[in-house]
Amino acid sequence: MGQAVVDVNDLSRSFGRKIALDGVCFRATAGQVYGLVGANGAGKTTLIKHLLGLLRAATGSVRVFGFDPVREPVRVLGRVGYLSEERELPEWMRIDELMAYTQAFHPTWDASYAGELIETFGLDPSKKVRELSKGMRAQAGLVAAVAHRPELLILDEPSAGLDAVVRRDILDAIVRTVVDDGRTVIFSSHLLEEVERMSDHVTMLHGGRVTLSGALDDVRHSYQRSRVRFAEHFEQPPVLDTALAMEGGGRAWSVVHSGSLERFHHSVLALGGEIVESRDATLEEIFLARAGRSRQPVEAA
Amino acid sequence: MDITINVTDGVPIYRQIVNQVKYLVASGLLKPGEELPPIRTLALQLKVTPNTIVKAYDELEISGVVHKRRGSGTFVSEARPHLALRERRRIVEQRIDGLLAEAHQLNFTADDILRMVRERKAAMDPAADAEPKEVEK
Amino acid sequence: MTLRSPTSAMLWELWRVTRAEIAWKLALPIGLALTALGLAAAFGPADNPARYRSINDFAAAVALSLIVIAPLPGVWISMARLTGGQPGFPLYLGYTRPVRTAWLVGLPMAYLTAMSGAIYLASALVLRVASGHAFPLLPVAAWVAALTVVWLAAAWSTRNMTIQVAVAMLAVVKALGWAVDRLTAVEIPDGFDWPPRLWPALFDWPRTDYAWIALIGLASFGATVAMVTRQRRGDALVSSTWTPGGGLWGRLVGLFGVPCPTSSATRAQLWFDLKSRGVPVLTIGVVLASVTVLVSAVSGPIDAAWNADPTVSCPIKECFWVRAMPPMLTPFMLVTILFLGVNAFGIRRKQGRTYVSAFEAANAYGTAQVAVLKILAQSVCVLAAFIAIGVGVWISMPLLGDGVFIQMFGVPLNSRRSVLTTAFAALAGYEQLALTMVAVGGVVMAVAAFAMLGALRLRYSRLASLASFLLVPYGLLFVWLWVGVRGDPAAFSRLHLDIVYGAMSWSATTVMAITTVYVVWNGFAERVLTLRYASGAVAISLAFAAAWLTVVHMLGVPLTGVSATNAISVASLALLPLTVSVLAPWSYSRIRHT
Repeated sequence: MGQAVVDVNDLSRSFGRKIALDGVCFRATAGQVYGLVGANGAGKTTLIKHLLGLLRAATGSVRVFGFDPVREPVRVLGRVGYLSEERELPEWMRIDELMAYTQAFHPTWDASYAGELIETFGLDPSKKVRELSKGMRAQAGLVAAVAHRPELLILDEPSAGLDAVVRRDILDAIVRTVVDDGRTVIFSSHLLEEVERMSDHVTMLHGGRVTLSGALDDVRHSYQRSRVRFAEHFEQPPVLDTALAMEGGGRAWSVVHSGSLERFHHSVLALGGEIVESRDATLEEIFLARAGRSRQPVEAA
Repeated sequence: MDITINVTDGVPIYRQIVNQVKYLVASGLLKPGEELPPIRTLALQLKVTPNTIVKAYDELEISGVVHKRRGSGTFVSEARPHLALRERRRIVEQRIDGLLAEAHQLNFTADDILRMVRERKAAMDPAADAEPKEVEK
Repeated sequence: MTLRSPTSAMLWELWRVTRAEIAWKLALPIGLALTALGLAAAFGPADNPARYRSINDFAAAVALSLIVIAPLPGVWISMARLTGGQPGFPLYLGYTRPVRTAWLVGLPMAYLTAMSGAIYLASALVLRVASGHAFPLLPVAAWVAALTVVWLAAAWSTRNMTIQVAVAMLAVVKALGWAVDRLTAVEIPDGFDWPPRLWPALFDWPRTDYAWIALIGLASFGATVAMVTRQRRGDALVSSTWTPGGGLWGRLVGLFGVPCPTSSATRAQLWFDLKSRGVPVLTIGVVLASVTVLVSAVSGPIDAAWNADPTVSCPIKECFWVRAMPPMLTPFMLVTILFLGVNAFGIRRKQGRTYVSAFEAANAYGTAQVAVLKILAQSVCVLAAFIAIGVGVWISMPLLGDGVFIQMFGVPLNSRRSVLTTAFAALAGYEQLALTMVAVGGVVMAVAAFAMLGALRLRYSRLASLASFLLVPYGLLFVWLWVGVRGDPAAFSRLHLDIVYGAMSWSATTVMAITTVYVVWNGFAERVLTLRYASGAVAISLAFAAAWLTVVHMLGVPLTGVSATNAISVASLALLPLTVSVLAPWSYSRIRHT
């Protein structure tokens, strides 16, 4: 596809005794949208902070545009747009001042695009950040992040706590960034529906490790969700080969499974059941199967 | 273009787009030679990543439903009736497969189903004469 | 653990919040006091009983002051942290609990007051047993409790920091004045202040005093309950959300109306630092200077109107000299400016978390450059504020007239002014330049040092706590010896002082040298420092060293033929700019890239 925009190799980092990242490998090529998913505390924000140079890699390497963001903050951050999870903006700054200030650091600033966005969002340029609501802060931060047409847009939980209108604005911005040739987006989100719509690639982190990573369609295809009916009544979830999570009760069960389909079929038949329906699992089902607390925590061999 | 995307039913998004475009072409809502929305516009409208649209358009082009004119956009291919017929058959066959599976669950045989289809059609008789003519068009 | 009633739950909560603070408020003063007493007993001259006794009396007085002052009576830091240091009722989470406001306020108030008093009582009892001196129990405990209750009332009743500070300061002044009044009511023989054997007599206060204290307590409690009720109901100026950046500082920031330059990143960053941190400090300095001049101008007539006989001195309680205020407050003003101006790196404190704003850290600007820019911008503003205050004092000296004395030197202020002018004019040109350079360099280094220490403390919090833990008793020891030598050369051998001083100089210099070498090596390895920057730092250090040595020579300190220790301590100050200028960007790099 292209040269790697982001190349994270065997990155590990811990804070005191808590292991935040453990041997994480992540690669992003230009022109694609990358979704990061994971439970709270899985390490998404930590990984993102490493990409920006806000954290140093303890082991392993981080390269953005081929440079180390810790050593070359100017070369890297000049081409990156970032929206943090807490929308950290100086409280005393007005929106127009925020735009001017950000403009000074990025020569590629497009003032007309910024103005158009501010008008679309309905922001008042003379208002101070501390007077803004949460949604407006996210919008202001988003304008500052995208108006200089960054080659890499990094969004940490962009939709967290926002209403549907603002969420739509953010998705628009992501789409527009990618459509302009060769630009890349990396975003982390809890809204798996959003990640499914918007990502070309998805990476799931759990406990600091990458549990799955790949093109969205491939990932979804490798996990199947099947509805199974058994002849007899089961109180506890029946043990099925390659099954990751089961839901349901009695004779009808919904199973998320991954791996050899044949083995799954055989084990279902062996228990006197039949597969009613089978389809690719949605991201939410995969996530819950891998990271959630399911009735049958059976890991495929 | 009237397309809706459902993330929860398990079908990949690009596949949904492909299916719906094929349906629109087949049912005549998209005329031959008509231009499909540009990738950017459709991506913004559906709130999906543009690469998905690219994938969908590529597959539509491979199956001959649309063709890309360089620099101008994507257009519906000229009328090919046998394609439409094949598409129509496929859609209905999907419904029949679903019906048969459901019937089997509920312990009906194929003969039961055929009988019930005729019964239902008789019940709908007053409107039955109008329907076939519209489909032929 | 089950808590059976709201009261026990609230008490448990208060205990959990304050237990660490109670521990160190007990340990630190008792430890320091015992150290003072022990040192006096050990190092006092055994051959001179009268001297020995006066040394020990002095130590006892110091111990008493320590156990009264060191626990910071009235100030409960752990409670203030609950509101992030802002005024307002800290247990506002209890507003939604089914507890009456009077109880919600009264129980913590009673607990904290009782704890303050109890801490003092415990300390005094321990010292009583250890030293045998009659440390006062109830009277001072009551005084501490009264001060606590008024401070708590000031902090909890209002959301306005100005009112809180004003009331608190007034309370302290009143309390101190009252204490001094009580203590000077008894005749003291021997000229030595407040020897322990007289303490039972000195600290025997009439019943009416206790009645007054009780009354003050009740009044404060009532006022606080009324105001907290308003807060609970969300009336008027109180709300339960603290908007950061608001208040006085926010208004000062808003005064800087220059729009942000977009032409270059450096200018924009400079604008940012000046607007958010530099110009407010400068404004405060200018305001303080103007107030000084104003007060000095009007003080003459006011004093003449209030006090019939201006030349006879009178005890604090009976007359009040406005003219004395400006010179007395000038050091506080300078300290305030320094206190406000030291956070050059913009380290924030929010809900107990200390951090550097990700917005600033994720800026597309080089690490060393932004660190230097921040420090220089802040130093310029602090320096300008100092100059403003200096100018204000300078102008107000003739306005105050000759009636104002600096008691220690017995010299009127106004004539001091001409002495300073003539002394400065008598210096050679290069000496004046050197003096200016040292002064300016000193301010810049101070700002840089504070910024850098803040950054290192943020990043290596455990090491920093350990280091300060070790340094504090060391410094105290040094101060103790220095005071002792000044007051009584026969008792304290010069040798002890020299040993301590020598050890301090040598270790400080070694640490500085090692740190500089390590930081330079590490900085180059991580590309935080460049050759250009390092050579610039060396050049500035050399210039500063030359200026410093000139000033030292000017002051008459011999440079040749002195002991190694003195030479080292002089030289280390010359080395300081180099250390600070490499350590500052390095420490910023440590907190920007954690």
